[in-house]
Amino acid sequence: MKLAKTYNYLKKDLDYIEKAVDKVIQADHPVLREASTHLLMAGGKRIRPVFVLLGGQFGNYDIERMSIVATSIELIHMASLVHDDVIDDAEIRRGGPTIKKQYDNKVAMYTGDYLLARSLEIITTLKEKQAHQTLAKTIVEVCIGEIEQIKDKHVWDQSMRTYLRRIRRKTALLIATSCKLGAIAAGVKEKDANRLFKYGYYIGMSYQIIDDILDFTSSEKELGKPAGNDLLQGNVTLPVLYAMKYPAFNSLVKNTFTGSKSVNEEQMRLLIKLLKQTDAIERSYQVSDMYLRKALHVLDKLPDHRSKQSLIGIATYIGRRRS
Amino acid sequence: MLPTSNVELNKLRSLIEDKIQHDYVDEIIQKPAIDETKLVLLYTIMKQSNLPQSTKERYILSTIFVQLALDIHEIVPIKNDRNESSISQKKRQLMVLAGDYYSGLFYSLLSETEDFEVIHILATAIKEINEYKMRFYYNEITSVDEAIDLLMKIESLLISRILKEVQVLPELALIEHIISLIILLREKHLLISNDSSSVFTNLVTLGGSRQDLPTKLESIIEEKIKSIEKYINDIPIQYAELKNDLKKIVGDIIENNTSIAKEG
Repeated sequence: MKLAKTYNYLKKDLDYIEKAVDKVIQADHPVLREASTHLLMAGGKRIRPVFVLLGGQFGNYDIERMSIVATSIELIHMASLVHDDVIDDAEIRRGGPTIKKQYDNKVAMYTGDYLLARSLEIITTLKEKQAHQTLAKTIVEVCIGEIEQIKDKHVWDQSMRTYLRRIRRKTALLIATSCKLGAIAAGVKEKDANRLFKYGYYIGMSYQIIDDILDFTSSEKELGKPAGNDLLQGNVTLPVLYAMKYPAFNSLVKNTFTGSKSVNEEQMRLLIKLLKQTDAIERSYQVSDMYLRKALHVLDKLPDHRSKQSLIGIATYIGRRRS
Repeated sequence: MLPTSNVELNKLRSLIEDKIQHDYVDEIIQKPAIDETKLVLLYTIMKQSNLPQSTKERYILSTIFVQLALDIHEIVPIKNDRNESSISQKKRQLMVLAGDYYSGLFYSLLSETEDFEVIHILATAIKEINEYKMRFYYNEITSVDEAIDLLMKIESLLISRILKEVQVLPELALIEHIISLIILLREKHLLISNDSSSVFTNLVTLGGSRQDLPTKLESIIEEKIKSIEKYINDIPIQYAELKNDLKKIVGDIIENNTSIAKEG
């Protein structure tokens, strides 16, 4: 089943948000406008706006208010992608050239800053203090998460706690915030808004863990980048942490990444092969499943609504995601 | 003397330093310098407002956080070196993230006190600054005056917008003139010392004569100083303290520049 089928009744509203985002990024300067539009047109799952709308369905759903939150969060996500491409020196995103590749780092920095500014301009039309505090905290935490990721690169003996805290900041918080802000904007009672936050958090954790697994189990064609790319970049993900408990993998990783010599394809193939021979993938799936169960458990306490079924559907989809 | 040794200003400085402190970032990249002139200007003018002390402090801190964010993003290298060393790579990465982090701090600080209007004002200023930066980056300037005007907007928009909100200074154009003066003096210094100068390199590229530029600049600077003096003199008498402080600030800017020129 396709993910979009679980919330197909939101299609009209998602189209509305797509147009709203497009309208907001029409900068005066042609290059700024072109760069932002190009990024939007490149597509993406728009999963954050989906979570905003689903969160809002539990309250007084008003598409105008939903659009403010969804547009703002999508812009924050877009801004972070543009800046991430400068950080990662990435040349391709969603099959097309990145802004930093098509123009340069300068234009990418200005575009990211512009998009963040547009996001804040829009979100301040909402006056709910809790929404702003949650979003502001998330923006700060996401940055700290990314800084920690750089700091923790090639640190092979890091703890699972360090990894989980990093992906919480890097991925889970913005999804959790999307759910909660949709709920707040729709006047959902605080207890349920917090439950939606928790749901988003657990889903985000599971989503990132599966992403980290797929880095080893998917093909280059499916990933759009070489398999094992996270490891190649020195990112210690959950499958690596589990595989490091095996002496053969442990010593091969340390030997491969020692010194300044570059790692070749053959070495990466060997590392991936060895990792797959351990139980690292299976154990990582178990952790992901644990988060999914938690997400479903939180939903038990929410009132029955078709959006609740969609949230269950998304959790199920994520659990089955294999590419 | 500028009120740089003022206890309140020192408190502001340490509050900013404290908030932007991050062990790992500080280890890898040099902490961005707080723009002293902007901090002193904000403090000096904001001091006149009847707003609670904590609000004034918050507005100053937020504006400086945004300025730091923009400033550090400005120094991210335009292109990545193919043979970039590991440390240069980390520096580039952390410059991007530190800027985003400072932006988050400004939003976070103002959200705590529900200052949504001020968040909006600063966000609009950031948006406009980036539009202006794009025009500047793409050399969309045809004259010295236009270049100065564009740079003045890029450099002064944040503080002039926040001060407009606070409504203390009767004439905001004064702030813009002071910022322009700083830009002009900086550019003059760069030009004389044969260093690369963003504005004037652009203008020379556009076909202007480099030889005429120092004279042209000197006359613009003289005009600018006259305008600033007139603006300060026109400040109503009830702002006597502000008048004096601004005179000191401008005097110090000129004096500082003169000593830099002599040293150079």
